[in-house]
Amino acid sequence: MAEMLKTMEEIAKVNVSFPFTEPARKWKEQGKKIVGWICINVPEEVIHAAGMMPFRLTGGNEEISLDLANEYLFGGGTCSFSRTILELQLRGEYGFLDCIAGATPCEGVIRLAEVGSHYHNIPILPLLDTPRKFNDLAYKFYHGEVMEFKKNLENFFGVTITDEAIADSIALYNKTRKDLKKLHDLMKSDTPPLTGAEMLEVLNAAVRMPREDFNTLLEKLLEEIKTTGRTIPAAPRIMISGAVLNTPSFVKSVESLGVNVVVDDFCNGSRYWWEQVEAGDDPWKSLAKRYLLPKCSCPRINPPQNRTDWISQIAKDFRLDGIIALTMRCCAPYILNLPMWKTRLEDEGVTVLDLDIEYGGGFSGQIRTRIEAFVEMLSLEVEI
Amino acid sequence: MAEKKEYFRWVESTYVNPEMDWRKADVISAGIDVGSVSSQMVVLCDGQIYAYSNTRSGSSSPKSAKNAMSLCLKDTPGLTFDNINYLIGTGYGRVNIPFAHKAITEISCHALGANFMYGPTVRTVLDMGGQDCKTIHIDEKGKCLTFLMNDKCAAGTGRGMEVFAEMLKVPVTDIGDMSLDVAEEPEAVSSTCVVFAKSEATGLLKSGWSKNMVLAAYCKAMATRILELLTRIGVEKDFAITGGIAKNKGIVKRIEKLIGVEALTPKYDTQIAGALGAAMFANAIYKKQSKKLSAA
Ligand code: SF4
Ligand code: SF4
Repeated sequence: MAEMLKTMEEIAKVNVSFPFTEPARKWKEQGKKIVGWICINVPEEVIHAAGMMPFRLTGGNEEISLDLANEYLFGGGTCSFSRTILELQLRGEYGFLDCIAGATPCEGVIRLAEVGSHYHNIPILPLLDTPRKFNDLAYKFYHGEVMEFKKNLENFFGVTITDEAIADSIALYNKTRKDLKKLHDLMKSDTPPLTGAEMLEVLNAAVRMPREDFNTLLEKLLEEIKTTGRTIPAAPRIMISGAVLNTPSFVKSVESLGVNVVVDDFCNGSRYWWEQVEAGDDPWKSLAKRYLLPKCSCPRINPPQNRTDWISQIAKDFRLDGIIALTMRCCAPYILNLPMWKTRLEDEGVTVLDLDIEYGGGFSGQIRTRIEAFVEMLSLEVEI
Repeated sequence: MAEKKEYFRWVESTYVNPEMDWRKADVISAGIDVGSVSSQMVVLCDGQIYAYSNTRSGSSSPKSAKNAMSLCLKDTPGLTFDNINYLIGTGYGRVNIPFAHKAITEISCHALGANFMYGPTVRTVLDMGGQDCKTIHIDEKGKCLTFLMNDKCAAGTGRGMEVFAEMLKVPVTDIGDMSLDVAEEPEAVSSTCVVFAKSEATGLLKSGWSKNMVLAAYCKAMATRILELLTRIGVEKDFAITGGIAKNKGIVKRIEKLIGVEALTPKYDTQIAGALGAAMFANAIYKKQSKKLSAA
């Protein structure tokens, strides 16, 4: 077993008291504001430049019962990810948020924001309307949306966001992206420095604490990896793919079967850090462009080719043996997108497991059997 | 008092190859498959089938495994657990078999077992077990290439058949033949959910349908449901069916008709496929390990 990293302990500690994490608590104690955000099309830098702490709405470290959310939503129809967030809101656990900012990725997220504020009184800013394709018109349109978001934030909190402030925030967030990329580049090694479960702790912490402090932790982690030379023993290399995953325990269980999870394509993972905000004459235009995620689009974007190419590129860069593709019920974007890339990746020699599981779902009987069989496909090499 | 008839009962079986002497074998390997409804054990001598058993699962996985073992070793002169070099557990209870050296999923085991039972030409395996169904694509060596699994519900599984047998008071082993003995194929019952199908069947019986017709309608519904799994994975020839329901002609014939492909005819008890695959893995892994040891 590899030595535990000291910085990892610090990072994991951030996630323990989710949703109201220790750093968030301290922030509030100083009388400062926290803005909850829902989808990665929301430019965090704008919130940061306004002097607020951006905090991502997700579920916690384990699956929770969705009784309240199911009552309000009359049972089904929406994905368990959005229902988990709603459940936490209805339980009052997100009460420390001053307002919520969202975009329009899929119906689940849009209505989640509405229903959440309707029943729970957390004010919601007008959603950023995100286009579903990339072209000049889309960039121009989204630029307008980002500018309106700026104005809405300014009005809501009675502050002004200067061009210097936004430039500084962009630099700060780009630094995170750069260092997360560095960390992932190390995962390309046969003996990566972190387990996939640890990586998820890092990614979870990133959006649950002040960014300055997270960047410091991340630098420390990179340094500690370098000085200790810490490695995880080689094993078949896999990616877990899907919309969003926040439970390190799930990744840990998968890895306990004898694989290394070396990368992901989640919107709280690779898609979150993959693209930098490019420098340009106008920081607002650069932001708008970056937040449409032209390189690593999610399934809501048409045409789907872009995403297929991206996944195929990840598979090559990280030398993947297999991919576990998670889909959850009622998540039309991902369910319908999976066939678009699955066969292509299979043709390229990557074993793909199609796994339907609810958000936060555990490692129970059938799920375990399927994943175990998948691992056997990768590693059970015997001469019969 | 007359004993209550149990219509769900199917024949438990044992087999010992009288021509083989286990004492002459270099490697004795075994596999035990503990499923939710039935358990099996297979013993191989140098990779060839020496003995097997097939029995109902009991209240706990360790007990079921023990039962399967004592049944299997009942008529094997002098052979005991201590003579077995390597034993692998599989099936839903695989991690709860205390005396197994290793556990491998039923998916990999059925793939390999089907390869042995039906030969290297098999590409698509349909396993219809006690509580789930799976379709598996395999290569010529019996390695699993892709699989799909359906669970969460008893429809289309052995357990569902048993429930129906009890309800109609028809021995479960007769269902297949009876369902084919109808003048005209009826519409499928509209729901494959066991609970709904049961009440639908009661209604049909009341309105004058014969038992055979009701069984035909139910088997048809189950075949249609399984078709989903087959269509999604794509049926490549040769096609083989394993598991308890492979013995139900009423389902097999209807599936064959729906996909337009005939299933290979089994040479062994179709329920032992999982345990057989496990025993083959045990044989291979044991040989690999002893090679490593002698090289060291
Ligand atoms: S998957 Fe795409 S649409 Fe859904 S929340 Fe993430 S970024 Fe937004
Ligand atoms: S993209 Fe899927 S997982 Fe994400 S909010 Fe929409 S439906 Fe839910």
